[in-house]
Amino acid sequence: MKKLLIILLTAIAAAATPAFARVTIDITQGNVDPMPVAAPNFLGADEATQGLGRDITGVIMNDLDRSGLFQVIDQRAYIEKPESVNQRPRFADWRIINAQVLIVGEVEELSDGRIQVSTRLWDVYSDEQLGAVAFKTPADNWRRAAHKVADFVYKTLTGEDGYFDTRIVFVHETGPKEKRVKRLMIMDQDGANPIPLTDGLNYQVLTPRFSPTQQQITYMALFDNRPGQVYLFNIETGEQEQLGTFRGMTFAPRFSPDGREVLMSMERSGNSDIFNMDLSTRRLTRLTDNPAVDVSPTMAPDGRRVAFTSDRGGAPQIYTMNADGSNQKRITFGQGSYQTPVWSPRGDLIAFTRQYQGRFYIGVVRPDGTGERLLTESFLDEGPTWSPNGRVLMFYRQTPTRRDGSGGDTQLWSVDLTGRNLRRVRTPGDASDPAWSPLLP
Amino acid sequence: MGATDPEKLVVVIDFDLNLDGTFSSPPQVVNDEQIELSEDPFWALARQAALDAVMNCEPYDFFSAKTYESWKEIRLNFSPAEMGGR
Repeated sequence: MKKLLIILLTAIAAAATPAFARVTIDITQGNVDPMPVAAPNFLGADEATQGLGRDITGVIMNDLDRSGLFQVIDQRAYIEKPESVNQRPRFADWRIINAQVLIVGEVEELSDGRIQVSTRLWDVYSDEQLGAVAFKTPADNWRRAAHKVADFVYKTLTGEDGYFDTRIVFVHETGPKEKRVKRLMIMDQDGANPIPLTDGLNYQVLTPRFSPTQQQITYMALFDNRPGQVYLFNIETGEQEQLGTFRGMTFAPRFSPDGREVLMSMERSGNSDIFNMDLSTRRLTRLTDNPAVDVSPTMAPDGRRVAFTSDRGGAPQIYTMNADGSNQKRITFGQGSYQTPVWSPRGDLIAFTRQYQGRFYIGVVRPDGTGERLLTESFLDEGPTWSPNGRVLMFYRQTPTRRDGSGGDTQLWSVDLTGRNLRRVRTPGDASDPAWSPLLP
Repeated sequence: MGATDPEKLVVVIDFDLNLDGTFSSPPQVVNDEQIELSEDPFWALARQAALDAVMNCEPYDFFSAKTYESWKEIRLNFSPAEMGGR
């Protein structure tokens, strides 16, 4: 639910009813202008903490601004200069610059060398404190503290969990098209701290997916001399482990929501079906048995249904089935093809890539197949991944520079469920196949 | 936005206006008790957002004084079902 900044009531004049009756008006369309927020630099007692305060404020403002739900007011407009996080603001000074919410914070150095970041959130209209929060952290971890403050602001003002203290794993691409090196990289959600996880020399990495419960990812690795296989990778230790040895190719893996299983596709003699591997026993259970190509399984957050792509009806379309493979049914019926379904962590929507007449679209549809909406369109948009609160999708987009579709670069982009807040995500070089982590513990 | 059944989160607000478009009595949330009892945080947020919107728009000075009798008492039904994000 967003704040409605302006209501257009001019309809009243037209709807003038007989005198002495209360005019009743239904308001079903909100103006979704972002909420104006003021965030003066976090305070500090000395130069070091003041510098950290400035950096932390910058990260918070960037997070809030990129969400599209907030508009951060330029600091040069601020009249009051807060002197303490514990001092009551002069609300009139903030109302006059149209701030609706004021964020005041402070950075202190603790005796053990860590820092404490304290924040108060004020509602400028009702003159009330909306909340307060403090984090203690090592000084070099200040970016995470800033993301946590931004998540606190987001949650207080929207009622749902934020997604700023998260990371993105993606495939980093370098080199010419015919000799592309694809290696795994991880970075903060806002593009900071990119770190390579694999060197991309002995094998290429495709379709990385985050574990919902651990610092673990699963992906398909392609070697020169054998069919591609699904692997597990531990982000902290860097250890890689093959998930079973199969004669056919295994691909398009994805964790179940409890992190105990990996759903994947396996191809044998030209036919692909969907399997589920129990990670503790490594036992494989077949979920589909169909001469058509069944790929890209994704499980609902309650673990009861699985969505996947199948071309059993001709072109690839999205189907759902029970977690044991029963009750398979088709849910999309539009023209073109539908690929890579991804179930929202909130459960209410399934994201997909749709291809129609040479254009690509990222869209969402309800699990029963109703309410399809396309959020993006381009020459090539693919591989959607959900923010942990089910509010934003990240994907990759290739922008060709030549008419035959070659050249150009591949970049990560994000869009929210309104389809209105499309943003490029900063990466070092070309990037594809993003996977969004859960909120960090 | 965050709620999975936004169509249920209706907020009804009554307010009365002076001839100059200012409030003659503070806006009242008609279904306030229902919202309190539900303990639904999204509904409480919807109530706050609706109240903020009504407050922000004062004065309602864009009506004609000639038709004052027809707009001096207003009821707004905020129905978030079709609002952004869904």
